[in-house]
Amino acid sequence: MTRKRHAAEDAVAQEMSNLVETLHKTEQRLEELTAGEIDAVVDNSGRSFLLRRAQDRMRISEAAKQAAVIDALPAYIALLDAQGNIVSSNRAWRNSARASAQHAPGARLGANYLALCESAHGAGSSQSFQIAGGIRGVLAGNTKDFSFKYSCESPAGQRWLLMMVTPLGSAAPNGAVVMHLDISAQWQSESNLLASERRFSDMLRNVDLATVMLDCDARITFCNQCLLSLTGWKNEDVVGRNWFDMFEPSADGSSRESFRMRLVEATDGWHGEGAIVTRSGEARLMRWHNSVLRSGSGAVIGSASIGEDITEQRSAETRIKHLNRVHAVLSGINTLIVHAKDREELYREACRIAVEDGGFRMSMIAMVDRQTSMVVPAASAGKDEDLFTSIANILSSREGAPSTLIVQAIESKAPLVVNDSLTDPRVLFSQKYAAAGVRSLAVFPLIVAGESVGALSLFSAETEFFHAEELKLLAELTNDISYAIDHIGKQERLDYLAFYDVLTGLANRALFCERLERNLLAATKSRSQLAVMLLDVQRFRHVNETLGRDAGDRLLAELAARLAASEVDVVRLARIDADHFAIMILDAPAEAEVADRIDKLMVEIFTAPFRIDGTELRLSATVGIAVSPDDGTQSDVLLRNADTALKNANASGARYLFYTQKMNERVAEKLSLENRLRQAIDLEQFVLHYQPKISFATGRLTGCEALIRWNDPVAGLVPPGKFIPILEETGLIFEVGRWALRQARADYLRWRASGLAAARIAVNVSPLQLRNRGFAAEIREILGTDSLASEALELEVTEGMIMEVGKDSIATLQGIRALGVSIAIDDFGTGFSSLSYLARLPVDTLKIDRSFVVEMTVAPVGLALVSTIITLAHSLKLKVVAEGVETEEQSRLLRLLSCDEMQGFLFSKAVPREEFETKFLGPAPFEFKLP
Amino acid sequence: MFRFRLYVAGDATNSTQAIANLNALCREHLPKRHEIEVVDVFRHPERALHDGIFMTPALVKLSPSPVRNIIGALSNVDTVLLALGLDKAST
Repeated sequence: MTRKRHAAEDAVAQEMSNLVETLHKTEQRLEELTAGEIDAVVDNSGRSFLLRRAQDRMRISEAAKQAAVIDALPAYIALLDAQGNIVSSNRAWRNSARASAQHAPGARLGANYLALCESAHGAGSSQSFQIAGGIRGVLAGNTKDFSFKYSCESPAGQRWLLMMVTPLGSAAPNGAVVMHLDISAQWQSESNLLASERRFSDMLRNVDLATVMLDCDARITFCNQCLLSLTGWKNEDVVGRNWFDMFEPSADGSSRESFRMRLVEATDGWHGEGAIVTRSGEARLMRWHNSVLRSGSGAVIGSASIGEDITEQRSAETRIKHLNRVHAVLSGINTLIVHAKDREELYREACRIAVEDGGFRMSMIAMVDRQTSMVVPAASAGKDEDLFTSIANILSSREGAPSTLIVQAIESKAPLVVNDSLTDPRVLFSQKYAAAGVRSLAVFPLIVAGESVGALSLFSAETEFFHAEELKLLAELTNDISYAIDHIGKQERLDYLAFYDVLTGLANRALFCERLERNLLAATKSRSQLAVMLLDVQRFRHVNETLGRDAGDRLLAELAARLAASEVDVVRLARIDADHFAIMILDAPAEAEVADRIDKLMVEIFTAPFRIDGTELRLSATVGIAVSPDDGTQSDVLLRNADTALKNANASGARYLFYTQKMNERVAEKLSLENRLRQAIDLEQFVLHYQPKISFATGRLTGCEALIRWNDPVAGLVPPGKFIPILEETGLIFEVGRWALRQARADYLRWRASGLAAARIAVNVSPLQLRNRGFAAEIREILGTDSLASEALELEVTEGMIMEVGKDSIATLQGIRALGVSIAIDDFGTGFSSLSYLARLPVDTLKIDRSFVVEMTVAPVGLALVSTIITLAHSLKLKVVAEGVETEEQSRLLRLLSCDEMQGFLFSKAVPREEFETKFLGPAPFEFKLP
Repeated sequence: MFRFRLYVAGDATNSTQAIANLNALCREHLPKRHEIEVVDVFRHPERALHDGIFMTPALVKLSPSPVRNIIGALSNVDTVLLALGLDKAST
């Protein structure tokens, strides 16, 4: 039985063996027939059989492909079986240096990863246990996947890794894939970004400038408290809204389009001014400084803007313009009053002057007809016939006339002002005015002997033209016109002329006394001081004698014109004698300041020579001053005392004297210093000290600032604060300033010639020098022909100075810069100029004032400010130098904020030239160890 | 227009070679006047059965007539051209 079964089994085995042999041979034969070009055969039921060779190759290549792909991955990958043994791993895993943590990649093939994790102890062991738990969960099929972020120490330093576990097979996992991804770089950049973002927005939040960031669709992504307070909105009202919808609702498609284009063209930065609307509907004028925001990869992601509210600044500028125009009318009409031969000419010319000199849109004088007691237009200027006809018509109708502002002003004997003619209900022809370009108007009654005889109407193209100061001046003007109306006539003309000086057009003594009397009354009431200055032209008689009376007259007329063009009000000015002028100063300040004003006036009037008949005359003047109430409260007493003071001044050789002795004493002290300074120039007692500037990038010397010292034989070395103001007051600054520039150039060229490491020298400039129109030419002359000389100098001007001197200073600086001399803004931050204004200036360097450097380490706001200044200055391509750096901490912060250079006691104060040369320019280059 | 149908066995070596060889041949000799359909017999066994294909790779020239079958990786260009009736003169 058993044998039988054995025999049957043997037969089956034999047959199977034969079949296999046949299969083998068949396949071999098939390969031979087809030269090995066959992969598969298909049987007659459509099933395909892959030949063994093809199968082997496919298996090998499939496995190789997968292994290659997995090996190429930077991730650390290991395959675990159901027990947690590592059965396979990729190249990254195998090559991974063992890190501190047990769970980190790199464990050997065959090791049990779970056991490894669970054997951990010490720091990081709780992470290992967590990971083991997670893997067990996946292997048991309890969780679909597991991931865990951890950090560990590796030989390459601190690393951040993300670990992920995924099951092998879906329902009942028979293993798991463990993968560790190194996310250190991403983690680092994320946390850097977060930190810098926080720092940046903290800074902007505190800055006292409006700050806003927009995305590419002009949606607001950030705005600071300053902008919110300015506009009255809350942060949540604003963020996410479209900027234009929110703040510039009247912006048309083109402004929105131009914003988009700026981003598309990726302009670095741009500036602009524009109005924004606040929550209450008020418009604020902003000056914006915009820059394009980019992501870390350089893609444009929106814009960042810093803006400054210039509404008040602009309206102050406008006010000054308005006042200047009114002054122009006033001085024009004062001259007219003297020369006008009849009333018609007076009216016609007054209207013409208002329009041509004063820039008013229209002007009109209407007079009361004595017979009909109707108001009739007498003269007009501004050429809007249609409007004038309408006014004439309504004035001629008995019913309509009383509703006109002209008639109302005449009847009430008080000026009427409309500062917005479109909205004011009192205005009858508001639409016609608008069409004629008129937006505000004022009507002044002309009053003679207590009666209104007519009215002067002035029409301006701007709204809000007429304010207190303009009205005061215009009231004075209408008084003068009224006065002229009263006095014009053959007989009265002589009387009238008795009040004016025909030669200069200024008031004469009689009129001055009358005005003085009036102002003294007012000053007594308001308990303010009033000063009278009498000005005596020196050597005037000499001019008359040598050049003739005509020349003398022309000289006086020129002098009067200069006085009138100065800051002195025309109505406070008079020629009271052949060569004496009088000036009233209302609300006179302390005597030293009065003395200051006199000095300034003298510099302004007498610095430039007078040119008469081709002869250049240099004049000077002596001044006597009397101040009410101490020196008298009556006009004649005050004038007499001023005259006494003048005589004393002439006798003592003083340029000016007060009537009261003690006032003189206070001024005398200053005077003695002035005399010693004059001597100092002659005796060459001024010296330049040099303070080095060093680069934050290299620690090396980049230049130096020249600081002037006065080597006074009596007091020793005097710092500039003590004598510069006096140099400026006396005009000696021109001479000393020139000396300093020449000295700096000479020192620089000598350094070069003797092979020293010559450093560019920054020289401080006084506002008086900058105001001088010949300053650029002076610099050119000082530089001379040496081509190296232009590298010698940098000029330091203060921001206040540029604001003060205005447009002319910009032209002067441009001229100087064209010579190769660089320009720095000194003491930046102390004035009120704005960074966006700076963008328009010809400037290379910006110096951050010492006070900001100090503040920087005291309060976060200080730091934010300095940071903002540096960022914006860099965006304007300006170099930034910090002044007054005294501590390592300050230096460290400034360097962190990308400040370019520093100057300060931290490494050197200003030192004498010889010391500077040995210490900083010697053969071994100076290098400061930056913290 | 030449229309071809190529029967392959997945991405086995001879099959992928046949695809590459056929593409190269068509590009050189029949530019812009050929269409190739690739049929994977593992995915579509019914088509192999229906078309009477018993080995892969196998190329069938469907048009122009006459219909011709070629077995193998198509590595010898001259043989293939001849078998397809595309000797050098006619191309």
